[in-house]
Amino acid sequence: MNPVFDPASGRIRLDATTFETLCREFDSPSPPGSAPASDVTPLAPLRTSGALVDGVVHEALRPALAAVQRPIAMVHLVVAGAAGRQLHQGWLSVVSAVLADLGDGSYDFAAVGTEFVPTLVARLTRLGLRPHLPAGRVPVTEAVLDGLAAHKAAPRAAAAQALVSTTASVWPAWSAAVSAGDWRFWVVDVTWPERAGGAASASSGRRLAVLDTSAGLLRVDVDDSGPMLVAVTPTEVWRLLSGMLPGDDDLSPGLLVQPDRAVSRT
Amino acid sequence: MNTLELAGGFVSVEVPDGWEQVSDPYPGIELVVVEPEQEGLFRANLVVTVTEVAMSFGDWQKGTDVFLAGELHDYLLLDLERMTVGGHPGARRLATHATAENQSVTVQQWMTLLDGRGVTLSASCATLAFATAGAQLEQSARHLRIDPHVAHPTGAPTAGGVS
Repeated sequence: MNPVFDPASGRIRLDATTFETLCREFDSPSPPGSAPASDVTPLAPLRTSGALVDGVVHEALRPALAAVQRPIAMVHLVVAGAAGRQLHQGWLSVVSAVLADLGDGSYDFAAVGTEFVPTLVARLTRLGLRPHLPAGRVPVTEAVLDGLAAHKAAPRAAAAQALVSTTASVWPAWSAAVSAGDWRFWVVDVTWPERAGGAASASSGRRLAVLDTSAGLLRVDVDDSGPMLVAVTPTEVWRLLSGMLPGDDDLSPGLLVQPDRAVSRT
Repeated sequence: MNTLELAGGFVSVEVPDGWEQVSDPYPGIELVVVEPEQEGLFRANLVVTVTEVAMSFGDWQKGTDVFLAGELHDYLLLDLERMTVGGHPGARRLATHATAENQSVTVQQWMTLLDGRGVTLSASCATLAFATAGAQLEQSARHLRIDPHVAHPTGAPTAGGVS
């Protein structure tokens, strides 16, 4: 696809290959004359869209690309459902960046204020008004959770079917919604380098996994007996989301995440 | 925490010690208290309003939802539930929005309607502080009291003060 760039908002819609080219041009601009100004080079779509001007990345894109280049922490958000699966990525810094998966092979890339990252996650997961389910805890297997987030529709459907039977006695309306294909499983991971003293490649982080239907919300809680599904309200989900980003106590001074800007297709 | 009586004793609410009371609230706003200044960060605050409401609780809240969505930038309603507020049937709302200074704020509102008087307690804090500050603000909601025997709210605090 041809990228669509809005210089007023700094937002660009593009495919994965073009995103990687954009990042490369921001990190190491091609020397003048090294790339012909024809319409068949990898840079041509970026030039045509206005994201590259005279070989330089447009200034409206630079804050987001700076976050990709030197992130303090990373965000990965998988949103899966009966109809498909999307992987959104974020790079946290003073100003953060998000690459939102539009589900059709294209992505929206833009800067976002770091304090608005929980709001962005809420919008991408459609967190909002839901009935409050009665309290309860139901065991769930890692295999079912993996299946719910699988790339292919068949394992997602099989995992959802497994949930229908295990939850019906505790949350019948919720179980019926899943049976009707009305479910969404989302997992957000925020990761950052471990504080000084750990292994160089070690990372710390927080994870929140939620099973959402129009009948209510369940959260994945892990205790000594393994993963459990626990009834949760939108308020509780928001409380957890708002506390996911690393604070000063989590981060080592001056330590940045290794750049990971490739569009993950896993 | 410090207990304040508002609207001639119609409402009493607890506010955190050391918070600053805004001295000149608008009509209908009985109380505004804000946390101490912290390096330009959004200051958590509590706002209590008592207004005449000539409609049902449901219609009042539907109107409030429309008003908030229209007035607040980047508004996202996250939760809404019926619950007891100040000892009376009411509701709680959770939402997030952006301020004019482009700060992300999370607001919880508790509201009830008694004899044509609508009472709202709003507790706002920076979104990234909600996981910790939100619980402190909820203390005020838990200790909100509304006395149905007080017929004529005066609009002025009658006791206590924010130190």
